[in-house]
Amino acid sequence: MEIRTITRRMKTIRSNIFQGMLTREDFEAKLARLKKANPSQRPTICASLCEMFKALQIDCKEGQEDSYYEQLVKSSKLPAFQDAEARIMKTMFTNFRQYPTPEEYMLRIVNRLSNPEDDWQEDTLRLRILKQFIKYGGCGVYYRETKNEQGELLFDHDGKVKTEKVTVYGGEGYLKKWTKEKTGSPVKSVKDILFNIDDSVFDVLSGATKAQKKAEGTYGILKLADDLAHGKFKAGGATKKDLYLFAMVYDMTYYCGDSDSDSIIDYNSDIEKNLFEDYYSNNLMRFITEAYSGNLGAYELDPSGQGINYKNFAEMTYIYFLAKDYAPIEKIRRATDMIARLEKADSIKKTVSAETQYFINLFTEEILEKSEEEFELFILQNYDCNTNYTYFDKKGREQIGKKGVLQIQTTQNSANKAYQSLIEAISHTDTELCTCNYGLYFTDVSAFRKSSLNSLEIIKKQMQSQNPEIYTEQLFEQFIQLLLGINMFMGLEFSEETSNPEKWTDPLKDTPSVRHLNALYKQDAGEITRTSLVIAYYYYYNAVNSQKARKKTFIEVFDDYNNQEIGLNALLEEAGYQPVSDKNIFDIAVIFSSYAYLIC
Amino acid sequence: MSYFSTVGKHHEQNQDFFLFDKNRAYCAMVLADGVSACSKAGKGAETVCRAVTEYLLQHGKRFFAMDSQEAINCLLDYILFQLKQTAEQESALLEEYSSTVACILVDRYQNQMLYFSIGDSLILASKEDRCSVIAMPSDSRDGCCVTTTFNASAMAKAGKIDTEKIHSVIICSDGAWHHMYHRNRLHPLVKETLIHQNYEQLKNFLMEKDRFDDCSFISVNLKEYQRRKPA
Repeated sequence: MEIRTITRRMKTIRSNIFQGMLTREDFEAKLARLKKANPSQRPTICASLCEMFKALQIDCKEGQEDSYYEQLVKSSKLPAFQDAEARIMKTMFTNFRQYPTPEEYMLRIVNRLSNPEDDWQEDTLRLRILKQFIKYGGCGVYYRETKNEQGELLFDHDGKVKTEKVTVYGGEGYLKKWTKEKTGSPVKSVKDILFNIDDSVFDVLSGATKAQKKAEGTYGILKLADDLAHGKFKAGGATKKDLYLFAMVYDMTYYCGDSDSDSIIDYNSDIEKNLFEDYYSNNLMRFITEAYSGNLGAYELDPSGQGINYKNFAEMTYIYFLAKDYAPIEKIRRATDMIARLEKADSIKKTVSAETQYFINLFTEEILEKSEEEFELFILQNYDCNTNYTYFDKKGREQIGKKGVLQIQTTQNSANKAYQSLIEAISHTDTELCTCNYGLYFTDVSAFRKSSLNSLEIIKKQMQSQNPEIYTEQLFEQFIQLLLGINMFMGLEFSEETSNPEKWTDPLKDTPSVRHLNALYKQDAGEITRTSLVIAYYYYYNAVNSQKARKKTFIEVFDDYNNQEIGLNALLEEAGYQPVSDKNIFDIAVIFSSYAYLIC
Repeated sequence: MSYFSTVGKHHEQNQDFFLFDKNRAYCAMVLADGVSACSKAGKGAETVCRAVTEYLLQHGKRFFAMDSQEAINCLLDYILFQLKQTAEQESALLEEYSSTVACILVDRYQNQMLYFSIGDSLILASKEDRCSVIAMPSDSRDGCCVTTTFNASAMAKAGKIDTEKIHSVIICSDGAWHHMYHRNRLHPLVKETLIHQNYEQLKNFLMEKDRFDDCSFISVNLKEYQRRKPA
């Protein structure tokens, strides 16, 4: 059983973080907790203390008496407290490249789930994904039997059932044309395309129009493969559709969590673990990738982090067929057809339960075993499939618009409840919500863009002198991009312009006009994301703990965030999001920042 | 009780080990799958099976009184203690004895069973008309958790369940359940076999497969070992 690359890197990171951050105070605080612990808490605290020692390469045994750990803390050479901000910057700089980018997660999935007989390992990642869609996904098209309004099949003159071509992803025509131009002979089958295609087929994307790059557009299938390979997330449910169809062509699995079933989670192919937890999350490492560099406006910046939306009928339909034992193209065909039928059939807006948990409980193993007819009826009876919505035009007249099938029932009530409770809790502290906009606290990100302060030059010199063995200009550039990206969610940047006193809201207090941090002013339950919940907790935690006389150690802040009962983890779980994770650089940056805030 | 074990095509030695034993009050069934990269994995699997069986049978009453986390800590401490002793005697590194371990302890008088698992083995129960997973294989994308993994107690699973509706229990190494499952669902033929406790058929089914990894299972019919309390 070998430890695979991404994991090996992640295991080292935690140890490196501890190595860079822990001081004698951390060990003493942990020891004090151990002494107060009840018997059931002891093993966990013991293990955590040993992990801290091991990070500093000090041997430590689990399950010993207090006196053993007391002696170990006393006799070991432990780092003394030094400038916290400098330590955080150094720790982040030396470790940030070890966090996997979405592209690296995708490569891991493709490597595991590809058929070795296809022998496409030498191809670029986007070409491998494209080939998979061509070979297993029918090149993005299938044929549907044509029926009249009464639902009767239509026949042509030869007595054959009439069919119509359904384009899920456009591009078949272009791929044939491209292959013909390359080989000089007509394309007889997809095998010809698969045999001749190379990465230059994507060149056309750079000059393509928006319409050509849409799913059904001329280059839809190319754009799909390119976006998935580079972790470019699109708004409006488009990425989710791509992910479900990707899951189908790679034969991924779904586990419904039924405790009395014989199904298991296949961790290598599970859609939720691999696509929604690892890949399609607010992974800030994408800000240092080429795809996102200088192109932020083009993509969905903050995926909700919710994973599968159990309230959405289209997602449930995709899941139902994903779990079936059909060939990938059959799954795509049947799911697409059923979604279209359901959307058409449900013309009356239904009032359905607001609680996501209700729908999670509803979708059991039994539902997956229903026949297609039964399942379709079940969806119609229990889910809102109506994509119409009303709005008022410029003249005040009521109009009916249409949403995408993946854009309905997207409210997250549990997450909103947790989020609003934090916002409310901030108002009970000495901190005003409008002042919660300072962002990262271990470095002044606003100063990065102020040329007069020369801030970047100072940081650059520090990083260069502290880390000569790894420092490169490119690495430093990426590091700054990452900090700017993280701060973009957490705080506001203040410009270099001279303030105009007339614009101040309160000249006596010398405060500039207030700019609100978007993440703390979410009103709609559909807008809540994991990121906004983490940020609300960050400001709440800082506000509450800054009032306390004793300063927290790093490990105490780390433990507070990870606390399953009262920490951020409890709220994330309640909201249906992933817990605080070492794998997520945003989470680590937020913890570092809270620590910096509380000791400065 | 039925069992099956064969060496994988890529292995020189079978590093799976299993054991079944009973006393007046309890039955214990254990399966350990040695980590193929470790030089003493087979010995490690055997040591763990012997230690766990003996310890569970000896302290059955205490184990049934513990909560899950206590049972995990207690068993893991004992496993590590036994492995360390073996490693010291043979002057080898503890890590060379790494294996997974999955076990059950059945109370022969009460309808209750304790299960414990570290790693990617599977414990499955057969009932009247269906099977249900008792302990799922752990996530091995991040490297499989084994007996010598640091902080293994956080990743181990344990619990107590009512056995009234359970006819039999099977423990399978990953080399076996990989063949018994298609995607993430139990193969219908295997399901039928398990419900009817037709283990000969299961053995034939596994024999027909290309077995690259060591492939083992051990199963017990609970009803055979149930006893009535003396009046």
